[in-house]
Amino acid sequence: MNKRMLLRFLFFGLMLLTALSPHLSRKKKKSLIRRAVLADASRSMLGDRWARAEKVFKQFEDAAVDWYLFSGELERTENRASSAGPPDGNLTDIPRALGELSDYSEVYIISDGANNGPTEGAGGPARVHSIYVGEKPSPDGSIEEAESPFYAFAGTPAELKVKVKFRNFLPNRSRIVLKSGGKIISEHSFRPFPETVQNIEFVQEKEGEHVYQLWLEGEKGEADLRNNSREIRLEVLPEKFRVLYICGRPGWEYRFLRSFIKSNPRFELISFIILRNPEDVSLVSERESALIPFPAREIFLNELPRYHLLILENFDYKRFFPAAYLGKVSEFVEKGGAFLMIGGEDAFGVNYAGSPVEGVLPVRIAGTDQFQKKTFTLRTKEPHPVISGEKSWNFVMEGLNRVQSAEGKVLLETTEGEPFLCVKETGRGRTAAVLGNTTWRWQFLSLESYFYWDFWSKLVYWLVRSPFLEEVRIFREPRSYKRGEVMKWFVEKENETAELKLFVRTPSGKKEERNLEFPFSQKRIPVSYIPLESGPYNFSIRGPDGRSRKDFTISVEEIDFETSRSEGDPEYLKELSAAHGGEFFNFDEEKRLREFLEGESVLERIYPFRSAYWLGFLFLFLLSLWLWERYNYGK
Amino acid sequence: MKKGNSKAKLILFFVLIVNVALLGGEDDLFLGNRFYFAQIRYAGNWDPHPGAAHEILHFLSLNTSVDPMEEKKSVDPASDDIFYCPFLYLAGGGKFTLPDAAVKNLRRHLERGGLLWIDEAEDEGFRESVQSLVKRIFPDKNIERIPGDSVIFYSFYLLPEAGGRRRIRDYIEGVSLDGRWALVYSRNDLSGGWVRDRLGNWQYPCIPDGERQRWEGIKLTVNIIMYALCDTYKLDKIHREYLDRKLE
Repeated sequence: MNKRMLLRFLFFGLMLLTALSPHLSRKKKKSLIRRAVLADASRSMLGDRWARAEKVFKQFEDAAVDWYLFSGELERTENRASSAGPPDGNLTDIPRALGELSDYSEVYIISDGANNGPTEGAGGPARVHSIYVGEKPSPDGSIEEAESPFYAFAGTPAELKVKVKFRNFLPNRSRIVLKSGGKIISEHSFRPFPETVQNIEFVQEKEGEHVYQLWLEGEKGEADLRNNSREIRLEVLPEKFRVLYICGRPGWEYRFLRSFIKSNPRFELISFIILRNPEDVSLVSERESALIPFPAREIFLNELPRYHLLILENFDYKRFFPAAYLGKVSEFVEKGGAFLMIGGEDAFGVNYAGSPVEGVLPVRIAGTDQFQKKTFTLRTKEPHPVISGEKSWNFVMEGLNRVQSAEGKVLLETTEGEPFLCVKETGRGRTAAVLGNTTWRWQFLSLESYFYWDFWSKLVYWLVRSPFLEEVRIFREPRSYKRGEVMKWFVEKENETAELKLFVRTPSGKKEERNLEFPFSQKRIPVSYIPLESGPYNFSIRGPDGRSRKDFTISVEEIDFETSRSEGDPEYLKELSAAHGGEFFNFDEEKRLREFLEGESVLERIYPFRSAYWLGFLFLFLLSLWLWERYNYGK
Repeated sequence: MKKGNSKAKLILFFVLIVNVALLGGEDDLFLGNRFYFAQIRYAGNWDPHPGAAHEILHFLSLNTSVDPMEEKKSVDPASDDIFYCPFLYLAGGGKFTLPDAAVKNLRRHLERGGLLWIDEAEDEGFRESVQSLVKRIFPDKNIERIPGDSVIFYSFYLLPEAGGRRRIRDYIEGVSLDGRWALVYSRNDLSGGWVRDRLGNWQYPCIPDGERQRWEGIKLTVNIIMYALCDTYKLDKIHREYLDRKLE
């Protein structure tokens, strides 16, 4: 190979190297940027934690950082944080402090992580590094939330949603036990995750209000076993409301009301109708008759307490049993039973005047039979859930039982001012008097049969205290809260389209209101509220018309957050740093922290064959090669 | 002459007063919650046995606790009057047809819980007219046999069979709507078995089984009315258990 070819190969080799452009890598120290150190000065930091924090402070001695102390408020200090003295803050509000330091590129937070401030998810600097100075975390499992239905039905499965959290450990299996009165109702075994929601299904056979204890199986060495249990209350309704309907003679009111009650799967109806009076002629033998004897004695002396509602329609008891049995009716009501008397020529008669039944009815009965064969129309008198809704009561009714006076609330009256529908709460029970028996025409004669169904369902539901009557239902734990503690309850509405608002009156008299947003076709939502004051909070949830309204008061107690929730929470700091692209350090990772502070470096790539010097050299080389060839080889 | 006229007017006035008093006066006008025998009026032989309803109502009054209006009322099926009484009675012999407005009203009546009892005095095209009427009221429904264990057969009396003035069928038929018999159709001239002459004797013989058949017809009539008033009351467990024991 001659000299000329060699030089040409050399040139093409250099060109190839330039085109491929290989690089070299090297570590390079990052230049110092604007940084702040944020020291937790709340009282939970007293003692060992502050001593550990002081050791950490020393690591920043040579760094160019700004110093801040925080608890509820943020405070700038000229020197190192320890110069400010022992921590004495009454609150730890990390998000708020970070929110005020958004001008910094990096913040180092030195804390026990026991955040208890009311602020949630504030912004802050681009990067947040955290140094945990609390104790080594111990394992802890807890029940965070327990959501139960507003009510359950006896004998029908009900479901609880239980939110469980495991910190610093994760067992292979865990178990939730549901107890009532010391007896295990349900056990649920599951494979745990750090945070999980478990559904616990159970069946309660007995109706009434029940208190249940939920218990999460603990682990050896758990930090706090108090948060492994939770108490819930649940009203268990009867599987079916049992209704006993006794009617004095066949008629259309009985015909339609019986059909209505019978058609509702939540009611179990037993009805007796007197088809033949003792004075009527019987032309057939017992064998040909389908009638059964009216078991008055059995019903009133033994069976009545089994029912939830007793209806007497157009019924004069005198023909069938002695007045003494009426005492059983009043006893039934006093103990929580519901009683409805419907009018007719034999209802509200003189035989009931002065009887124990009159004592529980919402009307005083006149001394003489006062059934009036007259026509009349109705109007509302007092607002009540039973007659709620947009309705016109302008129907022509026939036959009115005139009474001496009303004792309870008069909900409907004739346009002449005589009571037609009265209700009363007496003892633990409820009673109603419907002073006529032509409401069946609302269904049969009216174009809107819904009117009849709506009226009777509301009246019957009200009598048996069914929650179905409520347009707004609220489930909340019956307990008081601490200031700053998140209150959480559930709101359910009956009408999907109803818009609800939450009104709050704080202990200092401040008023707040907000719309409750229900996602499409959802009737139930969780609602939370953080009380910042101590004292009684008045809440009201209302519909646009004010009818569907639920008021309740929750008392909020003053709290020393720093002593009641002082357990260190490294997980909180870890999550915080991860969310802000920073690092998490335990206080004993001194070396790692020092290296991080001093030697924080970036990887630098160098491309030597892309530099201007190299390209200049290539140009000169090419030029020399050209001149050399021209000189030696001419032309 | 003048004097005689005013005397006659005075007598007429007193007769009217007495009549009103006997009929119950105010009572007879009061519908309220009472049983009201409403008979459908139409162009044709709509009232083959004018005296039957009176006998039925009188019987109900004496033998049951039903509080009926004392006399029947004839109603135009095309008017809203039919909605004051959930029980309607249609009788006849021979062909008939009802106007569209009546058909629409009847559909509304039955759908809301009413009951229509159709009683055939004579055929001569009556059955064909009933079938056509049913098709117009409920295009997707047919007349079907009401089974012998239906509650109609034990709503007041225990009935082994369907009686009446003439035995065309030993059963009754009907149209079922939402689990109940909204229309009941008897072909045995049940109302014919009720009619008496001026001396109080039965006007028509009952063919072929005589008085036993009449009595079964009377009982079936009462049961149909009780069914209209009490619906499926006798199906309630407590009654059913008692009746089952009795039938054993």
